[in-house]
Amino acid sequence: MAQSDEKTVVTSVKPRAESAGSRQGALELAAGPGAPTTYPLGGNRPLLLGRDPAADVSVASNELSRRHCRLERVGQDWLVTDLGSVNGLHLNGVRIHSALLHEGDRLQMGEVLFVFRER
Amino acid sequence: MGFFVRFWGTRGSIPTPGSATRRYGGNTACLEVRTDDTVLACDGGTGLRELGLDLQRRGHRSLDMHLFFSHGHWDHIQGFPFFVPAYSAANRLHVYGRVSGGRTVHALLSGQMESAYFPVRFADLGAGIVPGELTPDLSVGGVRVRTLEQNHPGGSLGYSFERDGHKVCYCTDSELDQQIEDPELPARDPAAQRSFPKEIVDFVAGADLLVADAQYMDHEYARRVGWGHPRGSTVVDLAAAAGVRRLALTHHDPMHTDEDVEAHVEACRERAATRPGAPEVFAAREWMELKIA
Repeated sequence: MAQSDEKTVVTSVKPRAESAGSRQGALELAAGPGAPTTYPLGGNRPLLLGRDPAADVSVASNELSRRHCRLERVGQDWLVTDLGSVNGLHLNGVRIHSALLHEGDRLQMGEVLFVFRER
Repeated sequence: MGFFVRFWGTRGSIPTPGSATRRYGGNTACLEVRTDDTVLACDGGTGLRELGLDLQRRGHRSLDMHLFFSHGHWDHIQGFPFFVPAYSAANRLHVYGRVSGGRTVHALLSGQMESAYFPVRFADLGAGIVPGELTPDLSVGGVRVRTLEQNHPGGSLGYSFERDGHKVCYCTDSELDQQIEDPELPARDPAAQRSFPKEIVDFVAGADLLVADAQYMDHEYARRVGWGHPRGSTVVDLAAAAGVRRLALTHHDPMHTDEDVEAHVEACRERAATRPGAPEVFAAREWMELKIA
């Protein structure tokens, strides 16, 4: 289900049970096809981000690999891991294989830019 | 092939938990250097505890792991008694390093577990803890290991790891500023390229990644001369002179907040931008993992 106003689209990955006390997060799509869009992150199973329409966070950009990266819980935090993408995963301008995300972190994948928000 | 490198502890001197250091981390020194089939780690600060927990999460049942210690100061050994794999008889831990006073790293690790300091005796750890020898031709799991004597009170070792044409260097607790060939140059002309003994430049030459102590900002250093840590600007000059591709600044000062670390990195990037063959410069942060391939 999606909600929208003039500037921002808020979409949701499939709802799932939350663990008590777990901190939520969100990815704001700041650049790339479909921006601006906010993807709330939740649940405890790993989430797939990529060009694949079946991905939990799917962006229709040719600069994304079909299975570009994975987002998973580590304790209260979110860990992002490159799944061997062609264009790589850049955290605040630094190419990484994986990292824990913090408020305001910028994740660049080709033309696609997400900003991570803690909630 | 190549390496995966993950930062488990990036703070210098003392752990600094709290909201002001959350992004870059508050655990003291620990770096994981992994190949497909071999796990190495540099230093056993409190970040080593996090590495141990993660090895458990990954489902390692029988580890044959190699731990390289730069030296024996607290922020480089304190995590060892909390390293969960040390408690399993299924694991073997090879420990390497040289410490001052003629003691071995093995003796240092056991000494910090005497009953006055810690409730569990070193002798009661389940894992086989094997003193390793830093021979000039040491190779571990196909990884060539070299060492460099560094300038630090009591001494410290830098390490380089090479495999399949890739090179990762770990050089912390090294007061490079004491080894600048013209020691008056930084005061006379702060922007000028500093030069270093050939042995130091050669050690890190061509590294894909140099993880280096860069504890102090320029304005902080004058009051901390002799404490064993360099200016970030000096490390940038070494990396540029040696053709290092990526420079990860670590051993963050315990007084530095996340914002301070970012300001420090930005200053180092500005300096690097003025150098030919400048490396990419960034701050090490806990849990950040790089693929060197």
